[in-house]
Amino acid sequence: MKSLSLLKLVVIVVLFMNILCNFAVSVSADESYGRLALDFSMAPTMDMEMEWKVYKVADIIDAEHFKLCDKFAVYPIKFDVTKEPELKSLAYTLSAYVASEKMDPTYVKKSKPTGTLIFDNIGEGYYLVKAEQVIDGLKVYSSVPLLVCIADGSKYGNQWNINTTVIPKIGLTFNGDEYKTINYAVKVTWQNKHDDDSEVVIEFYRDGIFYDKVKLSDENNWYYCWDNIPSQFNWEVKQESLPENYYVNYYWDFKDDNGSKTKHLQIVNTFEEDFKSVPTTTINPTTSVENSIPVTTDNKNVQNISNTKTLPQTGMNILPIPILSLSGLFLLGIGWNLVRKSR
Amino acid sequence: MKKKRIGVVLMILGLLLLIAAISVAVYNYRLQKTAQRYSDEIVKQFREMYNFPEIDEKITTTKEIESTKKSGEIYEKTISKEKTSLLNGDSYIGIIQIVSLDVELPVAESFSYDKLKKTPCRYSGTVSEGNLVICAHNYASHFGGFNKLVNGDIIRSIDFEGNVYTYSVASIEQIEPTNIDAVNDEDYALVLFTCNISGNARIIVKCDLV
Repeated sequence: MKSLSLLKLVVIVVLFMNILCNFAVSVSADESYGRLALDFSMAPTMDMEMEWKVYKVADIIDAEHFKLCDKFAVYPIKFDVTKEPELKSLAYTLSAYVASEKMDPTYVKKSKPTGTLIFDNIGEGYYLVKAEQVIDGLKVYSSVPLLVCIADGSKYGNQWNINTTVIPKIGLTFNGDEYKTINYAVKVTWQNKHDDDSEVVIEFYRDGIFYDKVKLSDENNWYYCWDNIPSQFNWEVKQESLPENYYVNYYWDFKDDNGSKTKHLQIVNTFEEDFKSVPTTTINPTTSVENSIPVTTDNKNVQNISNTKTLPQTGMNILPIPILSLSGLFLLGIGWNLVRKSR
Repeated sequence: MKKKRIGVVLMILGLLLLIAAISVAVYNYRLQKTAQRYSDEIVKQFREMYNFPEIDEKITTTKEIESTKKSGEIYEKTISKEKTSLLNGDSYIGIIQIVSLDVELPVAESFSYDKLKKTPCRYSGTVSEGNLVICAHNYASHFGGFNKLVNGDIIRSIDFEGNVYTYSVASIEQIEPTNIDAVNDEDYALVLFTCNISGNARIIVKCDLV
């Protein structure tokens, strides 16, 4: 009898501890968890750790349909991952929003770029992978944003792999020459344009901080170039809001124009009558197998969808202290009273 | 006998909750101490590289100090007339001195939650354009003492060009976290903000250039 009571007590305590530790986590039974491995075999040698950030950008509806999730759902982005160039463009487009909106990653880990970095227990979905720019002595390294799909192929009847390894590209973006500069050119083009009087505002960010903005229109031939900006910074461009039914794609390349390095960014705004800011698009399931990984949702790290921006959270987690203390004292008091009365 | 068993269970649960509360408190304390040590170390290292004025020096107006930089290898970068300095992999725009609180802190060039755990960060603007906004955690050693500030208190921002910008506290307000316009108020040359104790509001300190 006594051992049975003790067993009950242990069960209650274990359940309670489990609730305390996992109150924020809820996972449905049919979700799968995968593993994302970053293989650094091609990475340059450096002494500093890189901070790798993984952002969940889209949920998998089925083998052919995806839906942008969380904050990404409110941006004018069409999640079309049917072709390799679009996949790259999407990665850059999403990366620009991540940088300008200072989004928190779904998963984050720090590591020197050697061996393999593993992200375990990743929920199904499409993920953007990028590293924070890192300064190693006088050198600055940046990663190329990468879009990967994580999904259990057996559930969707295709070849997706629950555990995927990708090789991130890491490049030297500044070699210590303080006076080295680059040019950053932006050209906006339109496809299937429906209104003639429009103009767009292009915001320019330096290491994630707002730096400048320009209006592009027919008057300047939808083109602007920031000349001779220091190359050691991470420069990002974001196009401000678009008219309804338009979505945006960013394409860029790095050219050597007359000895002066120029980063050419082409922003393509496309009109599509059926496009809304929370699009569901079609994918050919066999085209992105190489990059795909199966994942599950870890609600601890998923952001709520919100159209409102807030100031950063600059407070410590103080609220639980009085709540836990008072609850603890209350239970302790009642328990003590019951024990005392039973005597 | 049954009551006794229930009582024991409740006491154990109560103790577990108390242990959880103590764990959160210890975690917060360690965060604060780590941030304090880190910020102190950064300021100390900058003092070895630059001739920054002491916090108790009587500087009541904005001025330029001569020969700011001491000897030694310093990695700086300049853009839009703003000079930043790199230390331990992070870039800083200078230091801030809150004289009445005896608080002296480095200011990271850009904001991130990781940086915020160590030092205050620039949220937006620049000191030279007179629209600088700085945020920091409400650790006691960072911006946790804002409730002790009064209008007229002196706050200084010192950059790596040798400029000492002196500000006077003009107002202290509590705002909603969504009220971004309040911190981007360009009527004030310097705006500092942090969370209130419960974290559900922000305390902002608006300052005029003296």
